[in-house]
Amino acid sequence: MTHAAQLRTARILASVIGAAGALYALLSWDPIRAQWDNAPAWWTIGAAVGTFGVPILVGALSWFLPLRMLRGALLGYGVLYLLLVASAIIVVRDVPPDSAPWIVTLLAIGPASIAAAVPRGWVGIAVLVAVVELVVVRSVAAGTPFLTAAYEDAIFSTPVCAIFVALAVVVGRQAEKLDRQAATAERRSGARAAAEARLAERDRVDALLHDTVLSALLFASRATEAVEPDVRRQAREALAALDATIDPGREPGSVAASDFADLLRARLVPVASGVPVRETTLVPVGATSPVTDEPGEADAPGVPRDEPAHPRVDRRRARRRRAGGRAQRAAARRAAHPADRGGHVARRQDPRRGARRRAGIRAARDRPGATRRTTQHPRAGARPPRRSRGGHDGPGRRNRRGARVGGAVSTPDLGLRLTLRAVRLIGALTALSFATLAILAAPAATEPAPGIGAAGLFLVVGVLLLADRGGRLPLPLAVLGAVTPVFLVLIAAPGAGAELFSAWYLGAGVVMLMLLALRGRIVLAWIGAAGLTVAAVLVTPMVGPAIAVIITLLVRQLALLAIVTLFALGIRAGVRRLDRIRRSEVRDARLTAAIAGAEAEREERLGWAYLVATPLLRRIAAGEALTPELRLEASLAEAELRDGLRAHGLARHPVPAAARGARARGVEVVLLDDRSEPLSEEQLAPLRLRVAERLEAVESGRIVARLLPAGRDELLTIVEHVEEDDQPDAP
Amino acid sequence: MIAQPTPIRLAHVDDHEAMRVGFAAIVDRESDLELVASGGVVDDVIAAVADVDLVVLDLRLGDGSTPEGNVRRLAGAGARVLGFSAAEDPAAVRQASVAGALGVVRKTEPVDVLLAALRSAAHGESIATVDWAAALDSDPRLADVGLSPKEIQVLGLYASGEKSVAVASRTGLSEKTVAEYVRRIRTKYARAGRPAPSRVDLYRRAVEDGVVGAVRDRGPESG
Repeated sequence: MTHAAQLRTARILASVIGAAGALYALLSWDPIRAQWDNAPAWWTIGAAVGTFGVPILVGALSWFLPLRMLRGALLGYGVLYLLLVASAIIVVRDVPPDSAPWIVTLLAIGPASIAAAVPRGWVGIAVLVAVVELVVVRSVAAGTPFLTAAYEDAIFSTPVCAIFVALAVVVGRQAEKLDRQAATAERRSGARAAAEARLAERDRVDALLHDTVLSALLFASRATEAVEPDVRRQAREALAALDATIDPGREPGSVAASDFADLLRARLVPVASGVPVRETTLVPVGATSPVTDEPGEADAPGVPRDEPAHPRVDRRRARRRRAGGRAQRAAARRAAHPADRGGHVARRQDPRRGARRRAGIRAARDRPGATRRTTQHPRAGARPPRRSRGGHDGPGRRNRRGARVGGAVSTPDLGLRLTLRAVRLIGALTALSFATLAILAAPAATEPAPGIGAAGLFLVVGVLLLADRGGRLPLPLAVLGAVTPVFLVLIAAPGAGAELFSAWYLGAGVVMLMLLALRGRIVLAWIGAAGLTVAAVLVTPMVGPAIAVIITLLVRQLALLAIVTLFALGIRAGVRRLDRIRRSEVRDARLTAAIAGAEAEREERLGWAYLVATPLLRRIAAGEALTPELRLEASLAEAELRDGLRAHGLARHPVPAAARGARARGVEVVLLDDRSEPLSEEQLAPLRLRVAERLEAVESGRIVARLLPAGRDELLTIVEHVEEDDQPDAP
Repeated sequence: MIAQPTPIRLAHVDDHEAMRVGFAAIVDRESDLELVASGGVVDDVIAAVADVDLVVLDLRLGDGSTPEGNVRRLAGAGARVLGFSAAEDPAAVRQASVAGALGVVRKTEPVDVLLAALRSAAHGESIATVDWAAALDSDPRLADVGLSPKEIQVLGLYASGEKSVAVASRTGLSEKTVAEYVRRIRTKYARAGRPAPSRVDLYRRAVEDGVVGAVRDRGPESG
């Protein structure tokens, strides 16, 4: 759980627990006041402050305290309450029976506060406290001299305690769940936004490159002397457009080559001590090796000699790779491959490993001496791309869960999910308490059977309610939960005895209604409470305790229901607020990811185009004569840029250098990438190696290498036309 | 006296002046070709297309128009259209194909390849280049076009870079049959890109594809 979510959860808990403590203490005001005459002054003052002052203070301050202090306050609050109970047992000794509810409150709120304050393992601690409390109260009920609480109220303290602990458990888990949902949504939507932004930016930049740079180079390679002025003008326009796109804030044409080189260098991060940063040098097209600042750098394993450095390296990945020579080489390769950025979904692989896989590459010649056709099958070279967990798809990767991703954060359930094992144990403890009360009440009852039957009904319906998974309780179950307390009264009350604990059905019914309130059925819970009250008032006077006692008990129970209702409402508002915040966070994450994705794509494409084309365009724009050599360089640069646009997956090391060499020898080279779903680097590396080998081997004619669309039997086809057959193919 | 053969009349649309000048220079050297209209946008040549045999269209014009819209306008005016592009954008090639372009030729092709394509397209022949075939073959909606298995095979072979002779050899067809397959592929692809919500639209599509003859003012039936 994030710090913010923890803080919000703790504040909600502190407020509700504080309000509950103060409210229930107020209901027990008279017995508390009565104790003051029997207790030392220090205890009286401590009890007053602890009972009223501390919960209000904690609740109020919770919205201002930082998380650590708030946890400390809650922990201190809980410990203080437990100490008050202990001190009451030891110091006061002769506690009036009517003060038991107050003791119950202390015992309930104390563990709940501790549970809210301790981030891990608090469920066990709280349950342990509840069990210990049960044992203590039971021992008191058995006749120990320390606490003379009424037996039925002592037993009743267990479910009250359990309820408060359950509240703490549920809120914490609900917040964690929301946090996980938000994190997943942020990750998915962020990745998707980045991919979409990259694609949009790619289209934009590609259009720019086509309309300006590619056209200018094409003109330069083919234009006659008569149109040389037009060619130079076109080169100047291309440079201006490129500069303006690289830095939109500047006037077109104002970005000097050295400025952009500095910009690229600034983006480079030292990936590891001992691994030199590749200097970004504007390499003249046609050169076979870039200039590096370290003589031995280009000899490092996996570092190509013929690729310009990439302008940007992921800082976090670079830091992670600082340890170990292997990691250093991997980072160096990343820094060296302009288009090698999508590798976060794939492992890097030594290109030499691809050679061992070449045995799986099937070559076929349909007409010996005329055409050589080579295909690469999906299973021959590499395993299928791995999908990372949680839908963390790389840029450009199609997300199979797109529809769900688009929904960002789902609307949280307003009801609380009481499906945790700990909460069910607490529920079982509650049921056990009331069942015990019912059994103990049986001997005193005029008709025991209805009471036992009512206890059975309570247990069955309680199990049904707790067994339901999901947020808001289904309506049929909720109605069942609302009417059951009424039936409990109608069944058990007429035959109940005169003992106070014989009215166990009131507490049991209210506990059930509390569950309804927590599960998003507040209205039904209070309808059930009204029915319970009416039934109790109508039925009870016939037999059992006096109406005044019943009303006192009802007030206490309904006060608990009110606390739980306030708690549920508070949580509901809190959850909604959390959801709003999360949605905002997701929007921010999407925006951030989109900006980062677009920037990365722009840097990659423009940096590459800038390095390949700018030197030539500047020479042409400056008026250098269009010699055959310059035309050839322009033609090669145009072809290299076109490969990058049309064959993204293939136009990486070592293919560009091999293609440049083949074209320089007069070979017509066509590279195509028609994959809709990019292949992993692990799959692409041997394919590129294969293509490069064929490009290096071919001496004339035409060669076409194509990455096929996904779903085909083959990954790659290479077709070589070794004869001089350049006639148009108009069948 | 031997009559001179009528030259092929061409129109050229390209938003780069230097490219238009270069294209004109290439055509000017050929006696059987004549450039009768040239302009930076479709509007510059639209008035002349009724009298030309072929319009050579740059697929990416700087006026904000789309390849599909431009090809449709020209085809609607009665012109045959051949795309002329750097071919780095399969989407643009698909758009032109949907609109009925006879094919797409790369600007970087050798001059003789370009000239041969001009002559073939001017006679209404489909031009099966690797860029055209690859763009269609990689279209995610290709399954909706309704190509037969053989047509899919032919398209895939062209897309991988095979030429018509090799395609014929691999498929066991004659080159003439392969040419017919290419024509069918082009027609089906273009038809799939044109909605035909009504019977009238269906008829129009069939007329455009040459499946049925257009009703002309032929006067009363003679019998």
